[in-house]
Amino acid sequence: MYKNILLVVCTILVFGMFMQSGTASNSSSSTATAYVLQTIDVTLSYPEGSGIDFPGLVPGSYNNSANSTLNITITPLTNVRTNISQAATGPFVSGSDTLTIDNLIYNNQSIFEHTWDNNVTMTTVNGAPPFPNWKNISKPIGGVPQYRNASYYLTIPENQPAGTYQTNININVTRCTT
Amino acid sequence: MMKVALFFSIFLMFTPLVLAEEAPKYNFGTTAAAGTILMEPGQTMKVPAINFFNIYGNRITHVTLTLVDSPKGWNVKIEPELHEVQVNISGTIVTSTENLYVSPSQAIAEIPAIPVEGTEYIRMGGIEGYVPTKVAYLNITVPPGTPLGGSYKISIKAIGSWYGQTANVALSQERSFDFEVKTSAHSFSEEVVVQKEKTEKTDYTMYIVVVVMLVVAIGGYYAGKRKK
Repeated sequence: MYKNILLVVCTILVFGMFMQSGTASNSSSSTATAYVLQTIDVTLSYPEGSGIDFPGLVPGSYNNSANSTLNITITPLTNVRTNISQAATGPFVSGSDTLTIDNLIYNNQSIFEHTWDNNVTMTTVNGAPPFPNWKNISKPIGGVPQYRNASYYLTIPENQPAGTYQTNININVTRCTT
Repeated sequence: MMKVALFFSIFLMFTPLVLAEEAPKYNFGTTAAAGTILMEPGQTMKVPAINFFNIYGNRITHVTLTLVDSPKGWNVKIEPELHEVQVNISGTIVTSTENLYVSPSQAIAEIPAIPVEGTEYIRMGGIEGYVPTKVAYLNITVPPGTPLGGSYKISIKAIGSWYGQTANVALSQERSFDFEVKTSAHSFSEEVVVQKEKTEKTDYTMYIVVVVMLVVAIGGYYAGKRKK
């Protein structure tokens, strides 16, 4: 009788010791990290022509409208909020003649809805978004792109030498991080 | 029937002309292929950095890449490197200096068995199939003495530009990319270093209970034997 009791007690004790060591460090945690890649996709187009042209301007003429608006389309592939800014890479150049870039002004409307109260003078410095609707643009939702416009106006100073002048403008669409 | 065939033939004849005259759409699509890059001090690694694509445009996008910022003493190179390419613009050969170019393309249902060289096919939200992309790589060498656990910034400027812009104002698109390089050891090991002065206190309660119960059990066993 007592032999059986001793056997049972010893078995329980041995199991107890194993159980104690087995359950001592049973809880753990893990960290999963996922990095979603940043995509920005922008298309530039001209609804009224094939480029930003100022044909046939005479010296001493002010704020001549370009023949087309620039459309900036932030396509649905873009998965971040964005800012738009722009800057020229230098002055207008025609051979050895130049036309300073501050003769070019722009705003965020089409040439048809243009008003003069929100014009910005072009510079070669790519700074902050110049208009409220070029800042913190929501990412396109439901396959609908975000559209923004820019229209350009050029002043030709008196005595500006004749020629075909050209410049380059960088459209900068970056992730809005604020 | 003849009229339909004639109409179709005329349509086909004029289609290329219509496409050639299509108003330009200058598309610049980018995906940052890496955000944080883990590297070991002394290691050299070539990592995919930016994917470029052009599925909404109808002109070839020429891309130039510039290293704007990198940690002092590090060797960071962009691949493909800046090189010259001959481009035929409406019959005139011009030399383009660029890192890579991206032709207008469409998403495809399946990745080709033999992929186009330098092209990577990626999935994107809202687009069915795979988008062909050109990849720019960063070739980074971390100096051997760089401390572990550090965080370093590499900045790249990408400019997409297009030929055939004859207007007074030509346009290009500029975009900046920041990459974070963290220095870490690739083979992970962790060990708690126990100081010798501090001896760990062992909980003897269980052992005492076991011994007491064994004594009780053995005592009971012998007591039972004597009774017999």
